[in-house]
Amino acid sequence: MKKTIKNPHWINNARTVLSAEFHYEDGRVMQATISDVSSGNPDWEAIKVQFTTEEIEQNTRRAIEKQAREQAAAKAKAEADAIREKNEKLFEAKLEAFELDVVKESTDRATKAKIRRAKSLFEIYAFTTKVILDADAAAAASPDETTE
Amino acid sequence: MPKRGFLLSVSVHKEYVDSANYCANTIKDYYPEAHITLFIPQRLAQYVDKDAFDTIITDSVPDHTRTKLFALSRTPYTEMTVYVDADMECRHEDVATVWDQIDQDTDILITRIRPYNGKIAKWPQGEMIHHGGFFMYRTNPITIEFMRRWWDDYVKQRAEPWPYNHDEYPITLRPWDQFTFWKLLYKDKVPVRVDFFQDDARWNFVNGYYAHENKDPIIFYHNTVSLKGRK
Repeated sequence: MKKTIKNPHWINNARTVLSAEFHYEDGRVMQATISDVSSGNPDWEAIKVQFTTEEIEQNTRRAIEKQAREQAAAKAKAEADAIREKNEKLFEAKLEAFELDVVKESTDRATKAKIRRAKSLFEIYAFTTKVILDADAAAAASPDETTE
Repeated sequence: MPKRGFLLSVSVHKEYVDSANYCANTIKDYYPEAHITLFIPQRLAQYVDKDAFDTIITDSVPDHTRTKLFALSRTPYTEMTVYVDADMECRHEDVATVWDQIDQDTDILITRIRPYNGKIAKWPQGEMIHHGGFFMYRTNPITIEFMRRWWDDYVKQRAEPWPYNHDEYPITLRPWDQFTFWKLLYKDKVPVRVDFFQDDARWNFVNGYYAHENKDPIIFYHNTVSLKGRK
């Protein structure tokens, strides 16, 4: 089946292997890897006839730039996903801390603000524990109303 | 009652009240003078942290998924209101500068949707670009009328048969209150002037935004945890 070759570019530094798109008449597009072999490779020969060295070099530069852009985008997304996941866990943990009656009822606004500003689960646990211990200490210090 | 303040609304789930309590407290942490109003159905009022809010309005507040829209035109503030989604949190003292952000000629100051971070909001006739989670608006007649219609038209949008050609306006737009916002602006051409916050990502940094979106510290962080059925 007849095909059109598009965008040939080098995929190794030694400039011995090419990649190109083969566009077939029936609409299929295939990404092919092409190298020269001792018995001769008709695709390799066709590329050498249809494209100049400068065109292949230009395609190679574009492919490298595209790959760099894709890698940078993937890196940014991975970083954002990691931060998103961490923030979700922190937010859920903070809301759970504020569901505890002892935290809800505490008038220690400063420590409660520290729970809200916490940047890690450890900070949330630590400041929540402080609120609980302070409440226990206050309860122990106040007279028990049920006994004489 | 001050002329300017923050407005939050919650409905349907108790978990949203917890989140609103949290959000309001973070605003007070960084801006103790902030005046904050909560719209909430009576049924859920028992869960409100009374120290977090200055005004709590329950009268006639519907237990609807978009109680927010009901609340907007009923703001108690006579000059300017900042609407804040209940799943947001304040993270910086620059929150107090919010009133300086709006131009004299602007009615609604809002932030942009980042398409990479959400559901696709494009259709053949338009695109949702305004993020409905955080915005500031003036209490002038045209803006209040816009807010009133936002609620009325949204309720119709959900209840009545879809009035549009499905190819031009897919019915998947129906649940979106941002679509109603778009319709009022671009189809009905309600003459409110809408503008975007400078450094808008600082004011509504949605969880998942890329770090390069803002150079200065985040002021409001928008969490994306599903609160419904959290426990």
